[in-house]
Amino acid sequence: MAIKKIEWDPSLSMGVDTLDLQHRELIERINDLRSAISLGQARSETGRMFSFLEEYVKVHFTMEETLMKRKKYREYVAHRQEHLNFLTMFLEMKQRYEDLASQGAVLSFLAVDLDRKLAEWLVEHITKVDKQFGEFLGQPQPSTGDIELPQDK
Amino acid sequence: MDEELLDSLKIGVEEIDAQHREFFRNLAALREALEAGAGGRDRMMKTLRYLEGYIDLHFHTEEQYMRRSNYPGILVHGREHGEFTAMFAELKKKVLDLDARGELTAFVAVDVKRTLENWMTNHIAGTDKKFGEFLAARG
Repeated sequence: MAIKKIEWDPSLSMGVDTLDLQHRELIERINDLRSAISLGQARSETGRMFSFLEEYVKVHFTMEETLMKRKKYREYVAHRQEHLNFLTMFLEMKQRYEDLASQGAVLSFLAVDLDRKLAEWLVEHITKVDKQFGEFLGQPQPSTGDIELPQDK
Repeated sequence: MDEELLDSLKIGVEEIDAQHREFFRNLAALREALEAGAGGRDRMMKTLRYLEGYIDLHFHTEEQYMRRSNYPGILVHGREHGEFTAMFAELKKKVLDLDARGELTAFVAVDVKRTLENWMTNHIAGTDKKFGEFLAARG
């Protein structure tokens, strides 16, 4: 099945290097998981990737929310709700994956969901709400990596 | 890691259980620092330094309990400790190399945290528990 691979490109930048780098990483990891599933890789491997992604997404969202709180961002509650919606969708997908995997069922069609749901959601979220937050912050927030958020002062 | 899981990992030797808890608490602190967007890199380095000492102390403590009770599984158990020590040395090298190149990312930090946490969880649930059961059966 030919699905156009979703990739990060500079048009997705929200102007906060730290978070841009994480978005990039997230999209890549979803792509990796999608490839692993469609190539029928070992379940121990795909299971590990799912669990990793879960923790990484949570860390990323919390980091973003921490910055919003620190900057007293007025859309914080609505933005956080979007994150929760994503997590719910992600966890449902993970559960479905685990159920199917434990039955020894074919998993390849889940790859489509990973693209259509997770990757597309993420791109849309970045384009719409994350960029709004970027605009609120005003000037670009450079950093030397993605492990620390920009500091005040 | 939640309380329920931590509880389920108790092997019944207070000193060992307390050390296990401390290991997980240290990794949780790493995640918190990442989420706070402050001190993630420092915490990663602290975690590595801490674990270096912890490994020696903790594995030594466990093996001492095993020797004292003439535990027949000590060799197999010790081999797993050796595997962890080797894995940790590799992880540490990887993190330090990346950091030297300014490429230590949140992704790497989460990956390292998970690798250590998963190994320890499996080791306790499988191998340490057997020792706990051995002690309990001896009364």
